[in-house]
Amino acid sequence: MSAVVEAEQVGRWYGQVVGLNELTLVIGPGVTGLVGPNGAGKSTFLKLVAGEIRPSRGRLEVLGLRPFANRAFFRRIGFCPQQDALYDDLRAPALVEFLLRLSGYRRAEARRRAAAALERVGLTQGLGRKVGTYSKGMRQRVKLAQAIAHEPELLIVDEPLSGLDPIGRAEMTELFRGLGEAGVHVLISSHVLHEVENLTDRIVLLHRGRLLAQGTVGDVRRLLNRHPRRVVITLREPRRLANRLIGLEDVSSVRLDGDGARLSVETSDIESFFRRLTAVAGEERAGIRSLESTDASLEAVFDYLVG
Amino acid sequence: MAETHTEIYRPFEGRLRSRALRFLPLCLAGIRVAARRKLPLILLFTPPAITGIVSSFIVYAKFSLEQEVGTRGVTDAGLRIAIAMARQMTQVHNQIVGSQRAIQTFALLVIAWFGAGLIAEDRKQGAHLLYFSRPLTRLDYFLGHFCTVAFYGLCAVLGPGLLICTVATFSSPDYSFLKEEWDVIAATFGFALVCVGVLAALVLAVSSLVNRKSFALAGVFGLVVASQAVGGVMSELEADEDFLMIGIWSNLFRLADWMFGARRPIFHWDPRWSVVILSSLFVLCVGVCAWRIRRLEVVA
Repeated sequence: MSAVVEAEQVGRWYGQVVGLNELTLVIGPGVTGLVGPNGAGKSTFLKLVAGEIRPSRGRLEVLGLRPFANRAFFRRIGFCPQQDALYDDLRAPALVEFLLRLSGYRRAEARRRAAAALERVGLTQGLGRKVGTYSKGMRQRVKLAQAIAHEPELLIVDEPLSGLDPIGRAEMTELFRGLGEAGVHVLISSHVLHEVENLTDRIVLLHRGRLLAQGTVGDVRRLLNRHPRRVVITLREPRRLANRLIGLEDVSSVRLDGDGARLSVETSDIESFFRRLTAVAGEERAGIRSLESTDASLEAVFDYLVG
Repeated sequence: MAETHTEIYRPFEGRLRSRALRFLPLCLAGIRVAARRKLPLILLFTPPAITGIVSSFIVYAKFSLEQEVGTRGVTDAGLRIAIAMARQMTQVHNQIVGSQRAIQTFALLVIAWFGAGLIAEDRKQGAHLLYFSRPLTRLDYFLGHFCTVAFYGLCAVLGPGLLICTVATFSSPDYSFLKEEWDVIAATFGFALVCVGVLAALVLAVSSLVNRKSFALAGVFGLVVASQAVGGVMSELEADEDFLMIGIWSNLFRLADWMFGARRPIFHWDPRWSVVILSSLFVLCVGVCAWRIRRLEVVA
């Protein structure tokens, strides 16, 4: 299978503001997470991929097609925007049916697909109510239903889990997994890293409109090994241990934190450091109470890569 | 890794359907959504409906009176003159022109109310993102919204005129109104299309420039009323009635007078000037809409 998304030197700016800068990447089939903080360019990238906006420069191909204003392309994708853009006075089935009719389906077919899509996203209650009366989670489901109702090859979802309760998040995550397993390519964005980590192993990290890293979470972690990682140690004798640690080969810095009760250590080889720490702490009778690697989460990976 | 899904990837198969009138679902949805709110419908359409009914009754009375006079005859000279004057005043085209003048404010209200939020609210909520990720062009988007506004505008402007024409047709002896004055019916359609077209384009243009429906409403009324006011003031200052051409309503009234063959002493300018002014306004508004819809990308 060829790449789902191919971007070459893609840039997009809004007047003086750079939304995306010289982005070159290839996204393969399957579920891919797009991760970055607010303002990283995730939404801009997704809108470019969805053909909503055109690149200011560079070449972008999605499913082998140029996406912008390409009607043949639009039939093959489903887009679930971040914005809460729904007709509040319509009922969910009518809304999804209307959007399907914009896609070119006849009324009966649109109605059938709308009902099926709403059921698939788990929205079976409250269908007689207007969308304006729905909770955030229900509105997210309606948005998702309209995106999958025409069975797209590529589903583009912008921040789908924001505002959902834990149960809603779990259900949505399960739904995306199911879509991925059913052969739908899913491109999903989030600024909450563990959400994406729960969903897929493949991530693209964006920051300030640039590609920061791409690959599996493991790949990114390996990339991380080139950077110093931080370990926070709470102990009885911090100064004594600090003296010993500063002399170790793979320790780049040691800092006393929290009124001198904690040590913050930066090391370039975390595994070697932990092996040595055990021995040194024993020798110094340092009385370690807790040991925490603040780099354990993907958040930390991101922080490191951003610098 | 990525290979997980490679085996079950299903490439797109089947024929892509292309469909004419792609804007129609958008238009129908717009009409349906607007119709959900009953109070504005009742409030905004009651005055045009009353105007249409009253004018229709007058037209009905005119034809009934004519038949009565034709059957019995009138011997009194004074009464004959009064009847002749009444006939002139109650000419169907005069009734239609009069009703159009009476309902112009409400027509603008209807068009502004149902059109002001269409593009403004879409942009504010990001609804265009849902539309433009579908096989819908920018032109389809504009036409969908334009037709939504035009539908309600035509209900307000064309409805009363058609009611009067229908009553006139069935009240006239041997459908003489339809046979002899069909041009009045054509003018009713023509004027309604021009009036609604220009005002709808104006409303959508203003809607595309702002982010809130209330701003668009204020903007549309401000533009129309200000143009009338400036025209009136200039006309008074320069003692030249042609300055009334600045007013949008004045041009519509002049056009109505011309199309229906009626005459109003206050408007003396060549009606083709009004055609030029209203056409230019329409083109300008459509141009603004095209520019702003294109710019939806920027705020997307």
